[in-house]
Amino acid sequence: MALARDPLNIIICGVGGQGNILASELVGSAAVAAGFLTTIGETYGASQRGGSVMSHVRLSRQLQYGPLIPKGEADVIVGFEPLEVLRVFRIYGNSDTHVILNSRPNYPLGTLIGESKYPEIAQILNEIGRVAARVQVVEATELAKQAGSAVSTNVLMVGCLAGSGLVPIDVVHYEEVLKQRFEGAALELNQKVFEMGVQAFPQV
Amino acid sequence: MRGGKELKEEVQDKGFCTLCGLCVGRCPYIKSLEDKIAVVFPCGIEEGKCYAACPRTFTDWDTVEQQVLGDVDGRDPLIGRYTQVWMARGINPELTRGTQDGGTVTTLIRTAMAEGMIEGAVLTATSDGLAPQAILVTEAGEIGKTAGSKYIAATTLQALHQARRTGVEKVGIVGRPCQVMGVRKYQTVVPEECNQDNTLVIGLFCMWALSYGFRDYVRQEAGGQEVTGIAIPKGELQIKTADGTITKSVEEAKQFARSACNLCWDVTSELADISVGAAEFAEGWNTLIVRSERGWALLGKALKAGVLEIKEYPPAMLQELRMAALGKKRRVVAELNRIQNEGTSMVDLTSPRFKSVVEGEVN
Amino acid sequence: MQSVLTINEPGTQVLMMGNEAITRGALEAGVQFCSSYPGSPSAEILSFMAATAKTFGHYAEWSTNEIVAIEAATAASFAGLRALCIMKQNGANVAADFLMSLGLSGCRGGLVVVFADDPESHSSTNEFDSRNLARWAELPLLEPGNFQEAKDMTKWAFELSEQTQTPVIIRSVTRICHGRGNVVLGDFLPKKPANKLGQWDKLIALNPFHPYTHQKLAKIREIFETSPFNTYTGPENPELLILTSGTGGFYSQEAVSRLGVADRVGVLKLGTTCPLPAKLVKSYLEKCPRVLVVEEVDPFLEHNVMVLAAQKEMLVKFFGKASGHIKGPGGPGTGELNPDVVMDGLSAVLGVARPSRNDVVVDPEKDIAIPARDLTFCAGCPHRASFFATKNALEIDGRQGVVMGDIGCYTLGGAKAGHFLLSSLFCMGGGIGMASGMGKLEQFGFNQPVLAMAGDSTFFHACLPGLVNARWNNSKMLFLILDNEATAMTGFQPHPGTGQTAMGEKGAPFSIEGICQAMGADVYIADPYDVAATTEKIYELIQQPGVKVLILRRTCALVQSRRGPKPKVWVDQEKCLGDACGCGRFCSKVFGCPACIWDAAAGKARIDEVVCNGCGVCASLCPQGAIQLEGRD
Repeated sequence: MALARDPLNIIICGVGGQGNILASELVGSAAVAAGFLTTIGETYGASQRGGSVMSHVRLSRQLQYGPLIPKGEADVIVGFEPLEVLRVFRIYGNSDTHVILNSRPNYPLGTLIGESKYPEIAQILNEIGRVAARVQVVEATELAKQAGSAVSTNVLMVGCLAGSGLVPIDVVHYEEVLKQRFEGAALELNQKVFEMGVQAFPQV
Repeated sequence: MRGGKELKEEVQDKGFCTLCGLCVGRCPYIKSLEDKIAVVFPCGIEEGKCYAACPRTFTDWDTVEQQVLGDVDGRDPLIGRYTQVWMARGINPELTRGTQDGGTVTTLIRTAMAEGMIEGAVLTATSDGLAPQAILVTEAGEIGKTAGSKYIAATTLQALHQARRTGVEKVGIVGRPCQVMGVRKYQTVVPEECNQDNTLVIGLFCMWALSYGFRDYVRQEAGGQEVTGIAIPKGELQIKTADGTITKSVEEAKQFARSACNLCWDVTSELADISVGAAEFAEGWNTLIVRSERGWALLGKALKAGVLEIKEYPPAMLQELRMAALGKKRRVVAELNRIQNEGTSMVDLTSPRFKSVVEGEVN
Repeated sequence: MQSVLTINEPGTQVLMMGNEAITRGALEAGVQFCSSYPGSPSAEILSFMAATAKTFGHYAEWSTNEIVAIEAATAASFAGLRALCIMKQNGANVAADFLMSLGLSGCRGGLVVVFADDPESHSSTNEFDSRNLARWAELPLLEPGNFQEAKDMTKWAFELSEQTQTPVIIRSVTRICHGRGNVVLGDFLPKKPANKLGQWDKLIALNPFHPYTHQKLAKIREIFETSPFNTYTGPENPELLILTSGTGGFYSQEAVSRLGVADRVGVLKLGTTCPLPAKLVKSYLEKCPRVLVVEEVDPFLEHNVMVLAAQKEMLVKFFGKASGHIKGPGGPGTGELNPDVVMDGLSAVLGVARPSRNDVVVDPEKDIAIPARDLTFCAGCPHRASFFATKNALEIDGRQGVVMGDIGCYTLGGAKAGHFLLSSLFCMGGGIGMASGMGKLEQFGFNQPVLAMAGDSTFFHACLPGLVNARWNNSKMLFLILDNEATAMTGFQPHPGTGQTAMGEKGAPFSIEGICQAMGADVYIADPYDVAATTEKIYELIQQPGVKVLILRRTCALVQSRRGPKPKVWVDQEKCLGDACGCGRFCSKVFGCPACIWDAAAGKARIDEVVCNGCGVCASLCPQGAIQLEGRD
């Protein structure tokens, strides 16, 4: 499948510890399997330290692009945390950007200690929605918890992306990657939540 | 509007804190070890109970006294309102083991617990006669462990909050005059946390409490021997070790008196239900001042149970006690005047209570 | 399980992390000995090496520190084996004393040293450009510019090293190490056995060899002149030449394409940057004397090419760091490159418009003020409790004790997460050394308590000489060793105290307390989860003379959380005081654990059960006893 826009720039963002890296690796591996030149840029340092984390995933039929997306050029933003989506959207978003967002907040230290205020989710959605081409909200953490473990929220969100029709990668490729990455009960759980993600939104 | 910030600035930083333990036990932002105390983190609360209840923030003595002992007629400008003064001593050896002087305090608090007046007691323990430790005791058998005088200032009132949090409703407190005032102000400010009707306050006589420098001094004097106890009878400092007793002048100990004690107006715990001190003129006896109805009831129970013996207090000795109190009060008022000139008003020095002492109207 | 590291299917295309690609390159080269000390962004390489050691028959070790690692790897090379040594930029400094001699001695078996730089210090305390160290040490330098090159250059580096008997430096950066991209796999080369060392087989770094070093470098320069890792794309006679290396290649290529100037601008990307392939570069300068140099972090290539132009008496117009065209928000020579930096620079040089799709307009008046997301300790992290206890002890003490910091997760304690407690922060082991000095200042009227803080892995890496110094010279200080039984910052690698080697074998377990006791320090151990006891112990020890060591021992919460079910923590909201006096949201506002959150609707504290690791420290701090803990020993 060709890309409507080449490169296709995807940002997966959240907070350290939410499984950002695994999510981008799943998407990237599926993309390579689907024959794309794929580049991923990660932030590792903050990965377990509660900081903002973001993976840039870039798909192309022509070039091995660099690991960083230029400002304002994200085509898709998959966010595990609402505030982080807004933070990323302001820098990388544009009026063609599609946003898939987990609605569960993760409070920054400054908010916990009372130095800053966490905005209302509705406010966040409102601001993103004002510009973005489309915003889809999923209660991913809650769904993942119901399926067995909140830890698998990231895979559920990858399912949402896979099912969104925004990325021309056949769902089969993701499923293959899951089988390579997991085994036993973890595989079963991840297959289950991935499928929940795929089904989360009615197809466009 | 005063809170933890002002408590730190106006009390702790100026060295006025008595280490009563009231704030540190209630507030997680305030911490204390040995004889140091600090507001570790700012709480941001503008109107803090810590400030309001602190015995070292401005205290309206007349009002607090009125609330606690309003119905007690007798008022002595030097040893406070009271109904009776006795010589007393515990006569049940089971109860007085390890006690100083007459064992009256231990006997009273055990009686209070045995008779159901209290469910728990806020006391001060020590393992070596030196470093004191606030404890909450809910088993009568444990009270004996806290017997004996502690000369180093202890944050005893910490345990008052432990009582509250563990659901001990009727609580007895044994404390120094500053701690008695802490409890009384607390009852005024946060009655829902400390109800006067459910609290029995046994006050101690106190001229000063010592800093931890005293512990280091004693250890040095003991020369590596384990210290088993400390006593200060009649101008003598006794350091007890396994090898025997080392005797020093009390002046040696006094050099470690906390400067905050120089601001303490109260010698005999004037706001307690019942106050107990040494009776230096009669070895093995205590001085007992009965103040409130509750104090009277406790004495009655102890007498009825046959664990306490009392006898008439020699008027000359009472006068000696009063004069000792007067001496201290005069020194303290001078200090209170001094800090008032420096901007800290701890009491209303224009009240007759203070004026009379300075102007020599009492005798 | 088969992985991209192990599958023997040359020609297959896979997605690889840069660190995997470097690993795979070494594996394909038949590497036999690997050593490293964990550091971001390169820590994964040795872990991969350890994981594949049984499959391929090589040896991999976590060494005590980087200088030991390079010494050990050099020994393997001495015996004729192919050896790989990996270190982050700061580690290269630790290894520098030995590295500076390696150019003189040369090597035998292929010896490849990976320097992993962290431009913009994503997971470091500082950024710098280790290419300078390679030039200073007079060692050849390769710079992979993509994931395929990361693999291929590593593989070739062994060949080059053996051919020239010179250790080769590969300089990677975070965006390569931790990026991922397509890589076509190659074949695995056979391994040679170790040589027997004869009486006259020597590896000696003495100055008389210096001229030979230069002769070898001249030979290497010749090899570099025709290296396939130096590539040019663009018109025959461009009006501007972009000279780039490393990740600069990505961004330059994208900038040229995005600005639509492919017919005007050529990109010469060098993979072999030092010694500079002078003839090759000169030939391009002759075609186009207008050059934009794109590289991270320092103007390394830029300066080298400027020197070249001066030597050759060429009139070249340079754009780059010196001209201010290539600069991040912090100015030229700071921070990492990205496509925006290069697009901005290129558009300025060419005078063409900078394209942008960004049409998000933020109204600072009306739109949301996004709260910063400070880095913090993980939920349940013993360091949070250690810092909390230390803060309490120092505040109660009241003499403004100073804490000398060190490198590890606990470095975060210098910020909000640790109440800004650290007074100094330098390098691995820097804290104890500074404390040993500061603990000697009493005679000058310095009377504040002195503390140093370091982690368990850092203790073994760099703290022993500092502690010896403190003891030897009768310093007065307290050394807090935050022993969480792992090298947590870089991914829980084992260290000498864990008694486990990189390859999962049993090593000699070192006792931190035993070592400190042997040095004559008074050693105490506390559990930081017991905040009250730890506070008391710290307070007690800072009253005393001499060198005291307090080991704050608790397993890393993340390691612990992988071992079994987490203890349950919850708030009894009936008891919670919330904002009221006597609490004031103490658990969330002061302790600051990410799991201690605020239930705004109830006006009470709540535990985020998804985040909570069940340490239960908050339960011990709650003034009301409202936080309940179930299932912790």
